[in-house]
This record gives sequence, structure tokens and C-alpha cells, in this order.
Amino acid sequence: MNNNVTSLPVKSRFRPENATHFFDLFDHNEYADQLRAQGLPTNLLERFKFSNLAQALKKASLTASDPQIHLSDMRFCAENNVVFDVAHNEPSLWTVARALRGGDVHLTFPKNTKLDQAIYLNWADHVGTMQNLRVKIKVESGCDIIFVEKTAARGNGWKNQSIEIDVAANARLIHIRLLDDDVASSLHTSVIGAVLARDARYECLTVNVGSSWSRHEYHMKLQGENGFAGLYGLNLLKGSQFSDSTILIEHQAPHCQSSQFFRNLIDDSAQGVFQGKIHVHQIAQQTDGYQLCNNLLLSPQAVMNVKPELEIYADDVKCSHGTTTGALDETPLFYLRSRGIPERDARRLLIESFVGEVLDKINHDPSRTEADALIAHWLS
Amino acid sequence: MIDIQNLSVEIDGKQILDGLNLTIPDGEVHAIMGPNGAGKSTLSYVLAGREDYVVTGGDILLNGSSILEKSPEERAAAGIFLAFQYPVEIPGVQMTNFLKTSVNAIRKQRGENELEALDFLKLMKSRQKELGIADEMLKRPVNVGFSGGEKKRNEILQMALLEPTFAVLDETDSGLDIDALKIVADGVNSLRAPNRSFLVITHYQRLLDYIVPDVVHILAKGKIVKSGDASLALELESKGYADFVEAA
Repeated sequence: MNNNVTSLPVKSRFRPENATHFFDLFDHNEYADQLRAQGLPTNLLERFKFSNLAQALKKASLTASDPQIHLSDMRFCAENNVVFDVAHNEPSLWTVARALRGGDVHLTFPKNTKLDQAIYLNWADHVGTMQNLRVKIKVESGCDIIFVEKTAARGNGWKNQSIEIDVAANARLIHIRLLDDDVASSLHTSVIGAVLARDARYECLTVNVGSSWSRHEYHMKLQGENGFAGLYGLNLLKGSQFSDSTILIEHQAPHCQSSQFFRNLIDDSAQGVFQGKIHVHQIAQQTDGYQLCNNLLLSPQAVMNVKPELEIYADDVKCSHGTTTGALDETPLFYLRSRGIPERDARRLLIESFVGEVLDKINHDPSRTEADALIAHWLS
Repeated sequence: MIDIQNLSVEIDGKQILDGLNLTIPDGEVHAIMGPNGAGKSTLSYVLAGREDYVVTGGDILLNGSSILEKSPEERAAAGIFLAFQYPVEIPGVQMTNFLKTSVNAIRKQRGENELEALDFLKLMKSRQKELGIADEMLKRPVNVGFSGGEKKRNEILQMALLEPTFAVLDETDSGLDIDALKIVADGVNSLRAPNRSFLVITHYQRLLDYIVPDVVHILAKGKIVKSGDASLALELESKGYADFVEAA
């Protein structure tokens, strides 16, 4: 053990001088004070190893605006006290969401609420603005809810959001995100924190084809026995797009399952990042944690950074992780072509199957139709 | 008629086929036998147009015109079919969708009308029944979770749907038990026709009890070293390849 290792001095770990023009968009609170002192997150922080928010915002010139959202069903807009508890000793998307001026949406689903239709949150235009949306979702026991977020803004802007979720015992929340903001000049940062009680189930599917720069963080806490957290993601990136998916799943109770299944399809000189961590606390015996990240690079300039992590303190667990990154496999391509299918169509068929397997994780027909359309447009 | 003239092929700079000559007239079934590494699978891939095999000499003529410049899909449309030794798993692509896409891609290239869903299903059902293929199998992704026998039957189903003029069966018998072998052989025999020829590549004489060839060739060191009638396969079975390989 080397006792000489010391952490870097605070001044060089954080760079408060970066993107300071955004400090004008801060509220007056302790989080704003913290960020003024420490700066926005940069890649000097381990969790931001591959993405530098301060750098991404450096050239953006935006004014604060209330989030321009539309909810399909207002019946459940009721204040709740959901708070996702995290440490704030270094800059994070949580501190950013709390420091920036913004708007709040609270959704509260009373016991045993079961809806035939999904609840839609449409996040419309953001031209020239920074919009910060803080969402709190309380799903009481026995509920069965599908919540769909959609963004499709043109023009430049920055969407930042935090979503704090509490899924009570035996409740189920399916969360679908269809992200299609302007690829030329818009930023999207989001952080989702969910706490799952006993027998609770939370599944999130993110389909991202938009934004020039995006980072989506997911932090799950499985706090009751037999909970299930499923995180599925699909990033289709081209041009000079950048997208980072960073995940932390904390198993804090026995007999829980978690599943991460992410696929990135990267063309041109776009860049993707996947950082996924499963943290199994000592109490969480019989954990079943699964992680898979497959990446398809469609151009020699495409870049993918992958960092899988397991941190396990219990001795009776099953955790697996796997990742692949490469070009389209020639063997299935030849097989299809030998059956008369032209190369272009064969490639498309293989790409559609590559993304289709992620979409298959969630069964919600209207969203599937929309996701298929986003993908078809991306491929055309 | 397929006419392979003095064909030489390399992969990764290594010569595999070395001046191979082979002519298969319409309606005939020829078998190629040979030891491991003789170039049997290379021949099948080159016929189907796999791009990493480099033809360094010779030609392949289908009904008098060269196919060397044709892509795999163009060869398929021209009537060439390869039943793969190891059929490829394609997760996420459902069997029925794959078969329909394939049939219609070929019809389109041939300037024929594409089949409507219902007409295609009728066609598929009739072929499927002959091969004893369950509906359930066609709902799965291509070859995913198929047993060895199912994979090979699936190849024959594709052949039956695409109705090639020249079909290559690359070790279609490998890994099959006797019942599966009979089903596959029956499927092939039912497709024998005056305007269709077959090249059956195999290690073992056993398959040729069920698919009786007109001519048997022995391939060694990249060329045909001996040809004869069906009795040559029996001779091989008892004597082994050693003599023929020596002769090459």
C-alpha cells in the first residue's frame, strides 16, 4: 500500500473558470454556491472521465427559460416529497439540476393506480434557451404505470433534467424516453435516480437519436427484497454527435435483480460512452446483476468508450458483464446476400435486428411504433 | 450447366484451389469427397461469391456466362444456392420475414412480381410440410436456438423456396442423426429435376446412399484427382483417402 498517494488539490480537480457564463443562470441556493466554487463537471472527475460538461457548454450562449412541457394527463400532478439522496461533495448533474433555475413537475400515483394509457411528457422547443426540469415521481404500492418522455426540439439549446423516482412495494413503473432533439447544436443532460422497495419493478428504455452532446445518468437503489431494475438504452449517433450513458446500480437488499442492456450504433466521427457499475452491498445476498453493452461502429472514425465495473461486497451473488465493439459481422451479411438480399438491404436488416433486440425489452406498442420511425429515419 | 475451368483460389495469400476443373450438366448430381483441408468448403464459398476468397486464375461459367464478377445476391438471382455447412444465426430477424425478403429479393432481381404476404405464406406452408418443419420454428429468429438437424432442414427449406438451378450442399450431412439425414435427403431428392443440378460436398459415403450421385469426384490439394461413378464413394470408404492424396 502506498501511503504517499494524496488526492489532487481541490483547485486542479475542479475548474471553476470553465463555462462561468452559466453561473448567471443559477438560482440562489447552496448548490449554486457549490458550483460557483467548484465549477461545472469536467473530465477530471472519474464519473465524467469521458465527458466534459464544462467544455461542451463553453461556446453555448443561452438564456434561462421555464421548461416548455406538455403533460397528456394532469390528474396526477400532485406535490410529493420524493428526494433521491446522494452525496454532494463534488459537482454532479444532481447539483447542476438543483443549482440551475428551472421548473418542477411532481407526479403522484395513489395506491393501486392502473392506467390503460401511458402518461406522456412532451418537451417542446428550447431555441436559444437553457431549460431545467426537475421531475419527482411517486408511485405508490400496487400501481402499474407507463410514463413516456418525448423531446423533438429544433435549433440550439440545453435541456437539463433530474428525475427522482420512488417506486413503492409491488408497484411497477415503465419509463420510456424518445429523444430526438436537434443533432446540430443542442445539449441534453439528465440524471435519473430511482429507489425501489420490496417487489417493485422499474424499467427504463432510452432511445436517443438526438442532441449534439448528451449525457444520461441512471442511479438505481434496490432497497427491498425481490426488486427489479432494468435499464435499456439505444443510442444512434452520427456526424459529430456525442452521447454518454453512465449507470450506477446499488443492490442494497437481498434477492434483487438488475439488468442493463445498452447498444450504440455509431457512424461518421460520432462518439459514444458507456459506463455501467453494479455495486452489491454486503447485505445484498442472492443478487442477480446483469450488464451487456454491444456497440456497432459503422465508420473508421467512430469512437466508443466502454467502462464496465462491478463492486461486490456480498459473497453469494451472480453478476455478469459483457461488452462488444466492432464493425458489422461479415458472415451473417454474406449469408443474407447468398439468399438474394442486396447488400444494402442486408446491412439494414442486420442493423434493424441489432437495435430491435433492445426495443423488444419493453412492450408498449405506441412507443415501439414511434421508436421504429425514429430509427427508420436515422437509417434513411 | 455449371462449368468450372482451371480455377485457382487464395485466401490470405494461401493457395487453396489449384487449377480445379469440374463440369456438371443439367439434371445431374455430383458429389465431391475429400480429406480435411482439401478445399471443399472454399469451393462452395467461391461458387456463392464470398468476397474474402480471391480467384487468381480460371473461371466459373453458369450456362455459358462467367459469374466471377457477380455479387453473392446476383449469383443467387442467377440460380446458385449454397446450403451452408454452418448455417448462420441471425438474432432479431424472424424466419418468416427472412424467407419472404429473400424470395422477393430474388423475384425482384429476375423482374418477376413480388409475392403478396398471403401467396408467400401458401408457398411456404406447402414446402414446410414436405420437410416436416413446425410453424413454431418459423416464428423464431433465423437459426437461433435451432438444433443441428433443424438448421440443416432450414437450409433445405430455403432451397425449396428459392428453386435454384444449381445447388451446392456443403456437408449438409455433418452432425445429423439418421432420421434427420433421411428427411434432408428426401427434401433434396424431391427437388431433383432435369433443369437443376447439384454439387454435394461430403466427408462420408453414408449421405450418398440416400442422395445417389451421377458422378463422384475426389478433391485433394486443391484439385480433382479422380472421378468415377457412385461406386467410387464405396471404394473410398474402404480404402481411405491416402492413395488418392499421394497421387495428387
